[in-house]
Amino acid sequence: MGPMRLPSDPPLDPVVPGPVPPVIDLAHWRQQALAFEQTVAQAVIGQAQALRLLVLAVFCRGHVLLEGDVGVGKTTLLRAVARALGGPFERIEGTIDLMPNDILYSAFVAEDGRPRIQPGPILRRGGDLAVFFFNEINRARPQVHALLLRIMAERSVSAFQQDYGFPDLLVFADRNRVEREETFELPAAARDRFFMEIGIEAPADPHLRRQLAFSPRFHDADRLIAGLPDAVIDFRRLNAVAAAIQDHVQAGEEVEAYTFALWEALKFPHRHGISLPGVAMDRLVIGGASPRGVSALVRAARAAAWLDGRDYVVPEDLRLVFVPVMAHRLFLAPAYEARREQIMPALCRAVFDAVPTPR
Amino acid sequence: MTPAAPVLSLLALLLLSPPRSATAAEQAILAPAHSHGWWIGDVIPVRATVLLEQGFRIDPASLPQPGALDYWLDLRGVTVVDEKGRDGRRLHRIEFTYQTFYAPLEPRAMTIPPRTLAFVRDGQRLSVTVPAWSFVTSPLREIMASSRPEAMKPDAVAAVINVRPQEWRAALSAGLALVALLLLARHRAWGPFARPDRPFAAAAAAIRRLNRRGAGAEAQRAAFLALHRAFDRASGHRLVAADVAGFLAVRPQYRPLSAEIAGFFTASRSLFFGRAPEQALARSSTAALAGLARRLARAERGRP
Repeated sequence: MGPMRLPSDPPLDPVVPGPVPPVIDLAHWRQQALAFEQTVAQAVIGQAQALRLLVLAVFCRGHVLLEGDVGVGKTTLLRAVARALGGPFERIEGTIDLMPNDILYSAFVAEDGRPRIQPGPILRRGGDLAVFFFNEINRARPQVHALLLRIMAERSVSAFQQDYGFPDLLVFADRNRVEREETFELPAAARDRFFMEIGIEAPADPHLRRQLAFSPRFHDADRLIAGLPDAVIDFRRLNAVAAAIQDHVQAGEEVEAYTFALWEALKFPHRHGISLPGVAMDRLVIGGASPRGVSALVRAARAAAWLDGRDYVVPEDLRLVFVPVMAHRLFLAPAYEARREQIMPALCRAVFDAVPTPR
Repeated sequence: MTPAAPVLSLLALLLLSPPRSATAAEQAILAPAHSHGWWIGDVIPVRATVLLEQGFRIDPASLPQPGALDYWLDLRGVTVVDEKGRDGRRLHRIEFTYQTFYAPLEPRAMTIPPRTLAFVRDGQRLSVTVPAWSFVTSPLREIMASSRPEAMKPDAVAAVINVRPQEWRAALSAGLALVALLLLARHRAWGPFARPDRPFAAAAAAIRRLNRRGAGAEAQRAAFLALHRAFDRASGHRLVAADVAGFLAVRPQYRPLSAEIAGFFTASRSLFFGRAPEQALARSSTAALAGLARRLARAERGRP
């Protein structure tokens, strides 16, 4: 067997520093963001809250994990967001036999009978890749999670003895919470890398549910997505916009104190007089709520304030993003992990009820 | 038959020999009035009074220990009382309580033995002897008669003890306890004394106090915080600006003040979170907050 040949074309771009960005008009970008939100809302109805959070994640350049029941529209939502965002989009399905190499390259025998290696989904589009969508992430093995961890944390990957950077990449992943067999729970480090974990429920409004079931518009997801306007915002400038938002929006002393108090109360609920029925509060939280998580909380709150048309953060912003940003970063004692879905919202509610603001 | 017991005069005056001193003691023995007619089980009080100069007191070691004195005689107790006597002297009253268990087959004289007591004063010691006392004890029933069931006496009727004073005391104590409980319940706001939680009234009072102390920026901030905590308590959770509409929906009594409440939250937002807290401070005043708190407190009591 002859030596493996690396593909010479198309050439893959290593990380290239971009030109100095022009001054960013945040008011204009806010209009763009709202237009982006409205575009996605055409395809996904009854998910206003999840959509708002996704927009915030996009404008914070944060990776998002979607969790929910089967068939509630997680994939459709992510595909709609990817379309409205424009830019190259790749997806991969998590399976139990998926290996990291399957993401990096594909090996096959070409027509001439010789082995060929071609870039896999993550490398195929080069450094422009805007959205990488990992479907059913909890079906993939820890090896794959480890590779994903690197892609998410550093937005780069090593392959073919070279580093590839994806400066504009956002990783969207989803997992369904119904099945536990043949799945691999995401390691703590990988979960912490996700900016938000957004829970998706079927819309509560019976009218919307009926519409989802009976309107032919929602029967064919491909046609639904294809009907959306493409590339509503310029994904290449989002990094600069995100940085400008963080510079522009003020989180004052009061918000700082409030955030810190929330953090403390979440980490040590028993010290703040929080009690939940049937839970030993002093043994509930065993880890998590990392400084990275809290910094993500503040970033998300700043973006929320900006999207709301303010240049300062208020407690409502923190409350809006607290559960999606913090809940999945908190690790509970094994005895309570199985009841996570009941305990976490109750705990977060109790934390907000325990900490006064302003103070 | 035993010879008749020597009759002790009711007031026998004896002069006892004082040792090496001229201190005289007057002693009177007040034995029971009769020296006959005693039965088995009878309690016999023998009283002695001793008149002594000031300063003498009985030597407790000379008092007999209660207990069995003989196979037929018990001493059940001794009490000593001293009181003021005539001519500036002290009168010591000593009472011996004896009980006889002698079961005579015929009337028989028995003698309670003499008993010497000692009185002391500043190293002085004076002995006083209570003389022996005889009495005639008799059998309870005919010795020769055979026992018959009819001879059994009916049980003594139980003595009725008057417990009325205790009943009064118990009733009085129960009344006092009830009053104390009511006072405690009122103090702790238990049961019927529970006062409705009036956070806005409390906030209004707190702001009034702040207003009296001065109207600086600190006082104004404190007034804002007092109202915020009142809103928290009134709504049952931490109320922020976004929750005001929901709060007014479930607490219609505050609806007439909705514009003012919204204004308060807007002002608070710029004061605590905004970019220009000084302007927010300048736009509001502690007095205005006090007015809002007062109106909220009135609404809280359901008054217009």
